[in-house]
Amino acid sequence: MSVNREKPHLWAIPEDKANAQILNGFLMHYSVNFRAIGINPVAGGWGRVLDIFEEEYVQYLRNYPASHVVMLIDFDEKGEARRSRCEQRIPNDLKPRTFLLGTSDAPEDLKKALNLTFEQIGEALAQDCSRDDLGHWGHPHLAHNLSELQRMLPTLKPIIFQGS
Amino acid sequence: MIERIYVHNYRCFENFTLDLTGRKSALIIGKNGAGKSTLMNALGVFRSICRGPNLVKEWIDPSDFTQNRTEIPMRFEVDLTLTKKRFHYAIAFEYPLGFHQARILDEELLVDGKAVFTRERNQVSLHNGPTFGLDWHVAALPIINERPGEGPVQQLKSYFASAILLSPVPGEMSGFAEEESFELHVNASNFTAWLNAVLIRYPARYNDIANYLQLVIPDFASFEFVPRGERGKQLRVQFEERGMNTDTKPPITLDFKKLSDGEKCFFLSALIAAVNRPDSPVFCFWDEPDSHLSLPEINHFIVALRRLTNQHGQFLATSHHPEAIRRFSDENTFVFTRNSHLEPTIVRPLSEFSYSGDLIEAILRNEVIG
Repeated sequence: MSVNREKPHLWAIPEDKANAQILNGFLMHYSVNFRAIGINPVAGGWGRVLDIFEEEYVQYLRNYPASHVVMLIDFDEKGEARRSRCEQRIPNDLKPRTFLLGTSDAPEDLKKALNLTFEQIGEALAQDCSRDDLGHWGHPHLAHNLSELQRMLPTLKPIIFQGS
Repeated sequence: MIERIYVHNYRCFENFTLDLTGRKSALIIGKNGAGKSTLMNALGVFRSICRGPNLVKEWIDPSDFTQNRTEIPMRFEVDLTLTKKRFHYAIAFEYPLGFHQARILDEELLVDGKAVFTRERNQVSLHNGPTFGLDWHVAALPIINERPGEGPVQQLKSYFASAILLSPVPGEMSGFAEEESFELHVNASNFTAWLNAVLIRYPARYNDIANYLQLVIPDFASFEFVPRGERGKQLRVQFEERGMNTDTKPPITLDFKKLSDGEKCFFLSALIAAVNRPDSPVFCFWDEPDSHLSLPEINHFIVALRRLTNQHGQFLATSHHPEAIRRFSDENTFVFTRNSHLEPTIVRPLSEFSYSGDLIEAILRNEVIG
């Protein structure tokens, strides 16, 4: 069965194929409730992620109160400036159900630094989330996400991890 | 887990190697005629050797020699790891001029690099010295047995014999069975016999199957076997409404054959997941698992099959469907290409392609499988 719109669920919008493959790995972790997660096709650029969010998900989020969105973008070393530009495009009423994550530069750099495949990175990040262990999330390429994670996990953990 | 498959001079496979090292699940993509289904047939040769019947002519037809080049031996090799033991099995066939069927040229099995047996034509040599003669048309592997307490050869045979090779035809899945079988047919026509066999041997698996089905078919309630005829059983499936109005409509029970093609595939997937156990992991090759599913179902269906690997299983699939293709990554996707019917299949990992943007769009532009 596809994602049930009436039950708590999450849609992820990946910027590029690297982020999409990290998501594939995330879904492979045994404790992830993959049936509560839908993955949008690759957006093709961080700006397009925001376009898709505005065009397809803003109304969806309002129509379905149990829905959530995570946008996975590359911060391309623009840090808070990019986060701020993205957040400006998220309506205030949807901010509690919309989240923004990504590598500080590009996932390829993280892949090289960790010497893991994208799927292995995704599975490792799922493992860390499920155990409340920020292990890989503390890596220099990901550490800038920590405050967003702290905002996100209390909401999403019961949805995306079985038994949470 | 299968690590490597090598096939030579078999249909469109010439010097064909599929390196699955470290890949617990993988996707094969390619145009029609590129050789994706031939891979399933090649795997079927290994399975047939381990399941029986034991005669070469039952698995190899003279027309299987690539472009009828019968003067060149046909060769199959597989490397796999089971419970930390490394297996290498190889078998080669020849088709001498004037003969009516292929015969075995050589055959060997190595476990952790040590030969369990080797064979040259009709002479089989066991690792501890004894040799014996064997008909040229009979494989040695199925008849090699171990002393009690030793187990690797039986483990290998069981692994391949239970391999699931699927290209289901839901219309053939009637839900009626007169017997039990642990050997699922490629078209899944004996699904009910397989389900019956599994539940007789492992009754507790019913809960695993039912739990899976309740996740994917919201009004699924239960299933049962109802006697039909002298020895037959008909699989019946009960549905009921959930939620506040459960007492307003009575449950409905349908013969399995009345289910949709997609729902029959959910049953197949549920049973595959139920039989996959860390101590008896399954190898599953499913040719186009998305074939009978509605668009929103494909994503989770593929992820569920890929997650067989969390119980040490292995899952290979072919697909032309964007949603199925997206659920795999460059690191576990292989591209089969073939320039013409006169040329062999070429295998390349997707990671070697330098496409940009979305894979599906790159495929549509012929950047990947053209």
